[in-house]
Amino acid sequence: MSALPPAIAAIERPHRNLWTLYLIRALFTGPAFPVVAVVLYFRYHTMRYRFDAQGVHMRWGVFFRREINLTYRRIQDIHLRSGLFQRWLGLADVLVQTAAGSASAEMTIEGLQEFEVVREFLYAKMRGHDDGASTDAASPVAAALHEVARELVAVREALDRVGTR
Amino acid sequence: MWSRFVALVAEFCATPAPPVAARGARVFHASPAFFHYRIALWLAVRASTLLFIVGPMVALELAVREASNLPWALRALLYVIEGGALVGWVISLPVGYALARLDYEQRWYVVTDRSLRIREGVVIVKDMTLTFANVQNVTVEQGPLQRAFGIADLRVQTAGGGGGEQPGQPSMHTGFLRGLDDAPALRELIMARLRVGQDAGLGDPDDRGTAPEGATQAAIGEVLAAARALGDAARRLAGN
Repeated sequence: MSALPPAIAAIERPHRNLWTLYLIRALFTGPAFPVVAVVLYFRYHTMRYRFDAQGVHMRWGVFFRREINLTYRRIQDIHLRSGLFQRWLGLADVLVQTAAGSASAEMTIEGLQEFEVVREFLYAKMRGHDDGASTDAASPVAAALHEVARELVAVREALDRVGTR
Repeated sequence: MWSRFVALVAEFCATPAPPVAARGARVFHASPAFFHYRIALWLAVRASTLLFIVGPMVALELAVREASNLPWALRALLYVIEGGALVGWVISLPVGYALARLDYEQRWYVVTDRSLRIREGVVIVKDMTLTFANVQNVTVEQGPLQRAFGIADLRVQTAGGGGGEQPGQPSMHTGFLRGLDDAPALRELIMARLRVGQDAGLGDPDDRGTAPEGATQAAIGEVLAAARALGDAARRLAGN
């Protein structure tokens, strides 16, 4: 696996505009505002992302902790979704879906201003993005067959030298 | 005037830039006939709404004329309500048209030979990306009115169940390309990719750089060793 792009590897915390967005969302709940705001406050402050060579990990929560891990190769489709407030704040949700049957996306990467970069990165890691031709050439079987071919060429050259003598 | 309106809306809604064609991708809108189809549908709905407003109005007017001893305040209230309904209907005309046109203009399809991207929405912008390697099935749908307009919808589904974001909506695993004028061509493109693919489209772990089975690998190892020995022998012979 190739190394992660620095822009992706650097992603760890959501942008602080996510907190603003959470406050706006909490306002819309009306009388439930204090409760929702506290819950979202902790959600925002504990949210962590980690992109590694095989997959992406996301966790949050204080009392009820949750951690989602998924591998790039299992991604089925990627959605970008942004409402008015999100676009005003420069944010968008990246919804990552696997073939599991859950009603919503398996992972919602929220609060990142570099959502386009993330989407392009995940897309490049998806199955079917390339034909795997480069990795196929590097497979051990191909390497062994190439060496066999080289040895056979060497044998023929040696026989030629013996014959011309 | 329309373009200035669009610019204003884009400014207010912070509309993302339209997708760019990269690496052989084809970026296109739905067919113009799709816009006409939407307008025709919308006009039909508007016309029937007008019937539902004007019909009761006429009936009320006749009833009011019968009851001549109706207090004037009640009569005025009736007229205000009727007037309001009519004004609402008139206002809905440009608004509905603008929404339909914006939806058409801000609906983009990006197709490469191995992936698909659908961008849609004005207020809530949605952008779905999928690769054909994950596609399970492709459906072409065409109603009678759509046939008259020469368009069809293409539904591309990847694996995984679950409903839509709201009840009644198609699953989030569905890419819905509305209003294509050449849906069969796109279907063929995707189906051709599906026929080439040997896997189930479920993220099989061995679909990259096909890992050989143990026996095959051992046999290849033997061949390699034999070739090396043969090469060494030949070189020794030639060197003497």
